[in-house]
Amino acid sequence: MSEDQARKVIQTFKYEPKRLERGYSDRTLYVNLSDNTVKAKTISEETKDVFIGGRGYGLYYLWQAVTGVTKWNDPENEIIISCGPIAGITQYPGTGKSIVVTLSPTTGTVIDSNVGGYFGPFMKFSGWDALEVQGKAERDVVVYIDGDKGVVTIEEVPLGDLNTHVLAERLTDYYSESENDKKNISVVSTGTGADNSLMGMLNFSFYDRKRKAVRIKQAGRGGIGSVFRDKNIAAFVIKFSNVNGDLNNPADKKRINDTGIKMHKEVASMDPKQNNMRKRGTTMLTPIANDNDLLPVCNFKFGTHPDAVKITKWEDKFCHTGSDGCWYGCTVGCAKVVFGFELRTGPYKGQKVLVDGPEYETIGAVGSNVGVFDRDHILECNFYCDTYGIDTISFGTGAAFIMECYENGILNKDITGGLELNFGNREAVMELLHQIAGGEGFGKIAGQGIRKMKKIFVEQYGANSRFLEDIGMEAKGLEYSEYISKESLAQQAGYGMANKGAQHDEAWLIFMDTVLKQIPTFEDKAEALHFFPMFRTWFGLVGLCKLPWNDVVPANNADTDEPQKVPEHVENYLNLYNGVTGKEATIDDILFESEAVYNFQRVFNLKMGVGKREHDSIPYRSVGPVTVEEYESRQERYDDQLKDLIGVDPSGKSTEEKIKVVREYREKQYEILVDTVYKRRGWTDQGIPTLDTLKRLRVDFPDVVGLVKKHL
Amino acid sequence: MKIVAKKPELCDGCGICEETCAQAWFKEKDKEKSAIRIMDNPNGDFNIVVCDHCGECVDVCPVEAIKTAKSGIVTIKDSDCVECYSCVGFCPKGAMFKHPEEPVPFKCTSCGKCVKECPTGAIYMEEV
Amino acid sequence: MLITLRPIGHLKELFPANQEKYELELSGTWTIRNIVTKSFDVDPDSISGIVVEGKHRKWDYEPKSGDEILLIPPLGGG
Ligand code: SF4
Repeated sequence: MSEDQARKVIQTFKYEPKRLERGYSDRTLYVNLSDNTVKAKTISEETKDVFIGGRGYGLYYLWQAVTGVTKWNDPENEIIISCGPIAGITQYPGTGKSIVVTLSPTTGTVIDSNVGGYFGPFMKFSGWDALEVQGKAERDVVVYIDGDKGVVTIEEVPLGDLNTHVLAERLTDYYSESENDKKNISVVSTGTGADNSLMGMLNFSFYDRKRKAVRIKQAGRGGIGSVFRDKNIAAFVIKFSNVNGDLNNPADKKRINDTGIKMHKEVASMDPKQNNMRKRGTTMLTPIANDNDLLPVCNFKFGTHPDAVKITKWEDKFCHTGSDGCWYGCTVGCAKVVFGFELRTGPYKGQKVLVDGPEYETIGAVGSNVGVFDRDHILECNFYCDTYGIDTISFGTGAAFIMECYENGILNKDITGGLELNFGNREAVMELLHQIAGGEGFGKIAGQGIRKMKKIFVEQYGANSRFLEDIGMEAKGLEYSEYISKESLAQQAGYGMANKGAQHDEAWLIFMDTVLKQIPTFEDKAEALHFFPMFRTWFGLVGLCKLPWNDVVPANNADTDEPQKVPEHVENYLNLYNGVTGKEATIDDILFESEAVYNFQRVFNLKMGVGKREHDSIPYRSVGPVTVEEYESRQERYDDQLKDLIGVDPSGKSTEEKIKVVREYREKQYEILVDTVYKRRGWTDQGIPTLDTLKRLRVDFPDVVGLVKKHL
Repeated sequence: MKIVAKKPELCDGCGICEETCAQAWFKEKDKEKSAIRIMDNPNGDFNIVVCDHCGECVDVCPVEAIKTAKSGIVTIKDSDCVECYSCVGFCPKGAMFKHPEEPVPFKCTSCGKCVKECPTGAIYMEEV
Repeated sequence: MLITLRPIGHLKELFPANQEKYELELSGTWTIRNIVTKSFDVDPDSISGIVVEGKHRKWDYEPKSGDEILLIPPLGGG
């Protein structure tokens, strides 16, 4: 620690570390970097009752902090990290998730992103249900929470390279006293990409004892890392020693233990026969997506590609240990890792590095969607996105959009500074990424995200705006995650109606809708678009990971009444929730809790000017074929649909004519579904929760009602 | 290394090994606290469950609290355990145990005390 | 009676010919469990759900002639 001379503590706040009671400390830590205030705030029973934790707390505090005109880079904007009552138990897979909430630079409204790593649970054990950071520091600072001693400091430390693979390791070393102490440190950081683009994300670290390496998980979506850097935050660091299984002080420990052991047994016996997540992680989705026309290829034009087989298998690349969880007790362990990967480009060229991942989304985003079917490219891009602090999804989807513009002559080499951004050009993809991270050349434009690029391309390069609206894969300003939704009306709405923008974490209905044909009517789809977003929202209120819910199932699952909901796991979750909090909640109770927060978030969107029907619209590329090439690639399917569904004889019609008919039909279907879902959710036909709905859900606070009334 | 080996056909189900083990490690008679278990089979004979030190639990433990010693014997370091019970769920022999009163799981350490007390020779120490 | 069996996703790999679907001519009464375990020797534990003509069916369901039976792996999606 010879660097101690250079360490400058700007603010010190001492507190009494507080034991959690039934999963809560009922306290949040508030930090203001403009005036270096650090203080504890108490969470009232009423707030806890309605907002539960995690995303709920994030929304609650952000709502207090911002007005309808606050921008992402105003000092008032906050970054809130919270994980919820279940988080931190060690006995069940997937119980260490944090949710990060802020105003997004690309959507202008609330973004929430869930992430693993040890920071969230350590924060709870240190006595804080949430961390709320507001204001802007003058110079780069580290906010350090020592949960052992009960000290929070704002400090300037000598930093050097801000990219995560360097910084997180340096800070882990810096704040730990020995190799054995490293496991007690978690760092939240980003990289230069977050300084120079609007698609910055946050890396949450955890120390991997078996590999003696700092590992990371990402809060990827919506530019949270860019807000972090705009506030001149270099990192949040937390230290907490002596983790054990009892720190939540749960109401009924035995209930949790029994549920956990039962689940571990299930994972041990079932996962190898099912998805084999323990060996393959989420990469197991890649071949399924490719086989079912769901894998985005060349900016979502196609759903499958003959070369995709080159990027579907990853097991041989991974360095396996038997415990790849992003929090203790996650036996599903999807956090895969590639060791000793030699970089071919960029500032760290020639170095051998550890790559966390890749996950399915990354494979789709930086691989198939940009037309590159090469595992080493995907690893290279995955590594650099992570260390630069750039969201792989927004980068990949954004790059794919740029490539289609390039191939259509909207962009050219003069504009791109010589980059030949044709699909499949892996060198150009990497160069684009390095430019975004460095804030150089065409990267300055590319890093703005699709919504802003569309505007620039129309205004400065004379692009046809309608075409860009059709092919620019974003909704509410957030780039699409990596599934083709053309044949699933329910999934189109799953993307379009998601509160944060085009992310599939609210609803993933493609299989139920198109392959299994279980939700044929508008009402069926609307019911699914009610249940799944609400149930999935609940995970983010309490600190859970979604994967162990339905990526492994008990042996008798097919013999239950609703196999798609995995009833035994729902029962497990109630046991965990009630076991921790001492409630006796039923499935209806937890859906009610979620629905309240979900509707509050919808109203939050309204406050920020994006909570209406017009904002639930989606690019036509996600609905049907935009171009002749696209139509003809699936001609038989579309022609059949013309005949069977629409009642129009395709013979003798040009492809353009057929596209038009298909489009009218599909766009109308979407609108009918939106109507049906609004009704199911208790919203007006403009997508605004009615006063009755708000009242029923107990979120009819005066300012909420006041706001909504203006729009009714 | 020497491990507890078994000839279940000789076992008469007296449970002395279980009592001995619980007594040795927890100073109690509660058989649920034994690291060797005698299970009744439906046909009247017995199944002996005890660790064979295969090391599956070593892999699955996220905090390296379970280690294989140089001798080959697998043991748990209680102070490092975070009570995730992954090992209990993943033990292929069902020989990692958890008792409601004990936060840390436990298993056979190959101490040999049970073997000495077994009246039938159904368990014995074997060099492997 | 003629039925079609369709293993979805990586369940395909568990069936001998790795085919998209299998058309089976069966006589007598069959449950889905028997078809999967006896005709194919596939471990039912790998299968998370069974859908016949858009409806969930359980293992002891006896398919009718013409039924298409979809076998689903756990598919959570992201
Ligand atoms: S399934 Fe994966 S993402 Fe979820 S908690 Fe486990 S390791 Fe983390």
